[in-house]
Amino acid sequence: MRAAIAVALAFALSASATGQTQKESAPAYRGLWVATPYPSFDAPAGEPVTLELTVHNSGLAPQPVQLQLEGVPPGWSASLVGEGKRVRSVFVAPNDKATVRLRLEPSPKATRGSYRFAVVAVGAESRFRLPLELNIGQTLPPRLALRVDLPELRGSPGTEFDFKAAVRNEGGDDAVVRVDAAVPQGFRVRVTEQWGQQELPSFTLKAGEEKTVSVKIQPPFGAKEGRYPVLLGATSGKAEAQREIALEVAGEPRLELVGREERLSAAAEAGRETAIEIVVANTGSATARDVKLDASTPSGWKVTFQPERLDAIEPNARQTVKALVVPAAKAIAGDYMMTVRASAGGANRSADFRVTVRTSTLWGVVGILVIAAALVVLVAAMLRYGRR
Amino acid sequence: MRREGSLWTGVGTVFAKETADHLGSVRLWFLEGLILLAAGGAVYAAISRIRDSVGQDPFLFLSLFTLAREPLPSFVVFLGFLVPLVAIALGFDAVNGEHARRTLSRVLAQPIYRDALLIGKFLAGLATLAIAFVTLWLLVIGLGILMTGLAPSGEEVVRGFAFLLVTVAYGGVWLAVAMLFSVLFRQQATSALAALSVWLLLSVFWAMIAPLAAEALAPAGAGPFAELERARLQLAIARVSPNVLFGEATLAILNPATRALGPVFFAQLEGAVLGAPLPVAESLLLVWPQATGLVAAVILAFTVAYVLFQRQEIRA
Repeated sequence: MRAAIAVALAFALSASATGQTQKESAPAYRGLWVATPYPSFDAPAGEPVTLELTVHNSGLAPQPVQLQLEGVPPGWSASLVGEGKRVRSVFVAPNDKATVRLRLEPSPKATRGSYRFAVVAVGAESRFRLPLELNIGQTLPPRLALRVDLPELRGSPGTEFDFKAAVRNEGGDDAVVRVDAAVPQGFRVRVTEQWGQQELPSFTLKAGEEKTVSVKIQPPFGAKEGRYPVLLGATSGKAEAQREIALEVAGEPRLELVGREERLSAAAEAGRETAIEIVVANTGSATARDVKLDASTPSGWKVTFQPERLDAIEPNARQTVKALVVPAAKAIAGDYMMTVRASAGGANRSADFRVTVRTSTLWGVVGILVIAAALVVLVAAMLRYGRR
Repeated sequence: MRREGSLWTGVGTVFAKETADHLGSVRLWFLEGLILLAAGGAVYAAISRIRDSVGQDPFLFLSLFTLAREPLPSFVVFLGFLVPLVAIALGFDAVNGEHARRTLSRVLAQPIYRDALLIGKFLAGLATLAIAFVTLWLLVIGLGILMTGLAPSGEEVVRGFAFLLVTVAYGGVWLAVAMLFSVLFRQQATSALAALSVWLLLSVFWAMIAPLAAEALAPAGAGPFAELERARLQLAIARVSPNVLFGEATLAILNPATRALGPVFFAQLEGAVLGAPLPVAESLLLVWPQATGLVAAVILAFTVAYVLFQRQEIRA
């Protein structure tokens, strides 16, 4: 308690001396210091390294600070860079910091091993030494990471499932990466750029970089409803990463309408009921439920279906419905178009049937009767008037 | 005196003799030549039109009969005009000619009944017409095959045959009418003129008379139903003419796309596939009233002629 009061007192004195307002949280250290986040690090051989250095002034007067390098191995080039210029010193205000970067180019001949050197900051009344250690040739082992943000997609069998897969090279070296997916039989895979159609069989990924590709999977036509797990993999020669994704294929009924023996024509007599057999087939991937049938016909026609609706048609199954067609009694002979529709929820299908209407032969009989009557008159005349 | 025995006795003899007379007569040669010239020209024009067109017609042979090129009417129209002329020429002096030559009593002195004479004469006329038309029909078909290099389909043959039958029935009507006049009038010129004037009336003037008559007879009133009633009445009056019946029948037989003869409600055409050919049976059913009407007209005209002939006094 006593010590805390003493520090606060000293701080108040210094504040009055510099004429600056101080923050509440007083720094415990007073003087110059140089910092870098990772004072000891690994680097591949023959590659330049850049370090971020910050020079802090804690509680000292504003002053320029000389920066020096100590113990840099011969043949190495080391320079301090600030805003694109080589610098030798920085200016730091009290309780402020200045940033410089240290650019190190190890000699190409530098062998594996640990190299020690230091950055020394020299101010008016203070001096600070930051020891650094660089391990050449000690890079990270090759490693790939695969991330899929939306690992499970849902869609109909006709859609292309598009998975965005982010591949990260977590190794220390660049790698040529190939992305592939192990899919069930019949599925089609395309790996393309994230936005675009260009296919990417493989691509180069720099150390630490990440690239997002689009893995497009197309289920085969008529794929059954269900969940299809797919193993997505990214491989470079040395490392590989796998991730399980899944396609949720939603079933979709698809209806087809044909006549018996694929015929779309029928003959009917005017005013008489004729049964036309209609085959309703489901070529989709899900059961078609509650299939309703109706027909649009020329006016005066009546069409009823037996049965009027089908409860369920399994995928790849077909059912026969009888359409009882009654053409208008006054329909003239010839061909007419009749549209039959089958609908089940979202799926529907219509087919045009050509109905050849025949007229009643009743008038034919009447015509024969007229001729018969005329013949009767003739015969009667012959019997009545027959003479020599 | 009542006839004893079958009325068919002697029909064969009369038929054979009359047919031979007809086929050898200069009159028939003359008319046949006329028909051949006119019809041949029409068919030639039709074929040249078929050759010019590239469109495919499933009933190419039927269009031989119906196609026309500008100055010439079509084959069917020629027949509608000339068939009555041939029939009248064959029948106008059937009975009064015998009277004039004073051969009737001689014929009847043979063991031949009057019935047989008239029936034989009528059948001979009909057979002559049939022979002439069959020849003409075969000529047209042959010309068609020769010039288009195509063979008629089965359906075309059936339709063509139906057309032939209707043509013979149409000729039969005019033959019966001409024979009726030959019984009615003693003078050959009178009967010929009478038959020709009836022909003129029914083939040329009837088309003008029918609307006027319908106008006069139909109940007055406006509106679509009155119009329809008038149209139906006009059609019924027009159909008294065998020419109209023949025209309608040939139209439906030779043009398979014809679906109705007469007024049709718009609602009846809803959903109809226009231009689609009718099956043969349906076309025949469509013209059945016209065809039976023609046949009935033949029988009725002959019956009247028969009754009149039976009641006539024949003296040597």
